[in-house]
Amino acid sequence: MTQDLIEHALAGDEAAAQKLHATHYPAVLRLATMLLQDLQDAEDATQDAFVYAFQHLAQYDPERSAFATWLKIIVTSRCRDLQRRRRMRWLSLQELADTGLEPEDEAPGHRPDIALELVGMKQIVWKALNQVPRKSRQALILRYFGGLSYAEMAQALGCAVSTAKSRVSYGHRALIRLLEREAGAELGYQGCHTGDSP
Amino acid sequence: MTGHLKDGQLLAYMEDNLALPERESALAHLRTCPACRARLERLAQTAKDLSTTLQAVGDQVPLAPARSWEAVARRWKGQRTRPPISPFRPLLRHVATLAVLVMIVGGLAGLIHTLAVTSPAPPLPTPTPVSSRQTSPSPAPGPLPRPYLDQQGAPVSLLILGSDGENTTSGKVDSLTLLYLDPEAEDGFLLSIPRDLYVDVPGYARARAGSVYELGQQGDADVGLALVRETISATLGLPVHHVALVRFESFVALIDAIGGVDVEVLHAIEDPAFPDDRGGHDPLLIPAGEQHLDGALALRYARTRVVPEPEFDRAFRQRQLVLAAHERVTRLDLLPGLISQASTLWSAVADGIETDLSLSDAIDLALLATGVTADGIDTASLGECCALPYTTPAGQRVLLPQPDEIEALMENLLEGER
Repeated sequence: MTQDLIEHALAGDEAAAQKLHATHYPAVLRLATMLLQDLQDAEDATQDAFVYAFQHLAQYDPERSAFATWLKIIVTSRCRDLQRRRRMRWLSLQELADTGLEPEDEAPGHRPDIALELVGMKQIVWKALNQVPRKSRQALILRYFGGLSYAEMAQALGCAVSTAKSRVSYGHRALIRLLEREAGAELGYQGCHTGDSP
Repeated sequence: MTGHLKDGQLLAYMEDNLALPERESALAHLRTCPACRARLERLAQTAKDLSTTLQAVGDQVPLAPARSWEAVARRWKGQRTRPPISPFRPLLRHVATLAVLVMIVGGLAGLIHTLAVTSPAPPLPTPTPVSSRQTSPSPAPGPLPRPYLDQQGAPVSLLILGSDGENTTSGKVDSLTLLYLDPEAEDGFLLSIPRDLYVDVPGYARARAGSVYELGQQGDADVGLALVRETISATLGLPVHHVALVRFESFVALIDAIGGVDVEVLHAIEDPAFPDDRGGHDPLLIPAGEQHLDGALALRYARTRVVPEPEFDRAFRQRQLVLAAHERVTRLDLLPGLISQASTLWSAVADGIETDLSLSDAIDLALLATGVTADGIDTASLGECCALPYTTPAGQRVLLPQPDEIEALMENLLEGER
């Protein structure tokens, strides 16, 4: 079914492309939103990803990955581009020239505008996840939300497979640590870890 | 198998990613080791909780498929008009020296900006980089910093100490941030270190990270910067190449040098008791709305303790100033003027900065920063992952560093570079 739509889209059939978009848009947008933590940027990255995918449909190889996975790899890469643009503005003159005369006031560390309605454990986990260093955080998201394999993650993140693994592994370590601390604080036994005096 | 399973092995075991002999050996260890079994359970539980949480977050993302498709279809069919290319572009591309000069200014603004904006932890007072050569003798043996200027492409680490400058003589440091740049890997990170981290100071008793500079400046000694460098190098297990102590005044000088800044004053500020230099009062009145502030007024705006609304506090105002200055410095129409005054600007800001970097080092550093794609700049906070609250026998409330966690964090941030 998907393969048929791809064939048609390749031939320039807009209706087929629209169906592909409709099927995969939610998963791609959600992944982008989590990676970027900004709805508008995520929408931009998602659009970029679909435009790229449709323009490079001939390169898609169903033997290598599912279409959904291919899209996720592309959107992750778009997200990285977007972050680079957003964060480099202050650093690079060239970027300034590329973006025209009005560098907008970007804020890479701004508050996420999603997940405001989480409660209980989910809220605690989400809060802790956002304190994990960025690369490990993104690796955890790709792994546990995107469902990517380490090889696919490596492709999406432009790193070695072993690096993808160590990012997930460290992400877990940091997350567990943060959650334990949160649990300790809630139960009011904050001081119990400090038995080994310096 | 000797010793406990490593994090990576445990994860691979959980995900069934181990080759048969390794799997069997891990299984044998797990049978006999309750500690590793508990870690495995915790890992599995976290993975499960994480999946559930991310699913719930995903469900909250508002979808607009029709609108998105319209944009995609338009662009796919090539109807999208490319954004006009700035007429400045060819000029800028070919004038490398222009970039160097602007980076003297932009590097300053940029670093302040990064620290204020991307720092994950509590709001930073307002640090910057660098100037004026000062060589300080090392007070105690420690890891030797690697020189980076002789080795093009080698990583460099700069520790930036921020002081809001209210007690200029006390040497109190309000924030510590390590900037690490690796131009070869196009990678780097910003690590914020809590000022209450209780660190081993070579040659001294244990102390808060924020007091180490002060310790080194005691009496006739002028080794504050070197002492901080040694201390933080040892705490992190990573050579710190340079240190810069940046006072808020330097930022104010920068504001004057760029002709002031425009900020949106969210609520009128009335502080009749704002202190003057002579122990008296110098009332401060700033009406709400768009205001143009010069350096002196900006300083008072940042410092007043009057908080008309909770979200309009000192941290917010300081950050607002940093962003306003950043915006001004990066406006292309101001560039020619800034470039012609680069050296004046530099000396204006250098007064509030104490560092072991020279101006040329600073330029190199700024250039280095341009070679590192910001996508590669990770941010982390030592306080969040690697320290626990502790009260010293003397009653000081501090954060006790957790060496294993610090090692794991540094390994993650450096990703096998060491």
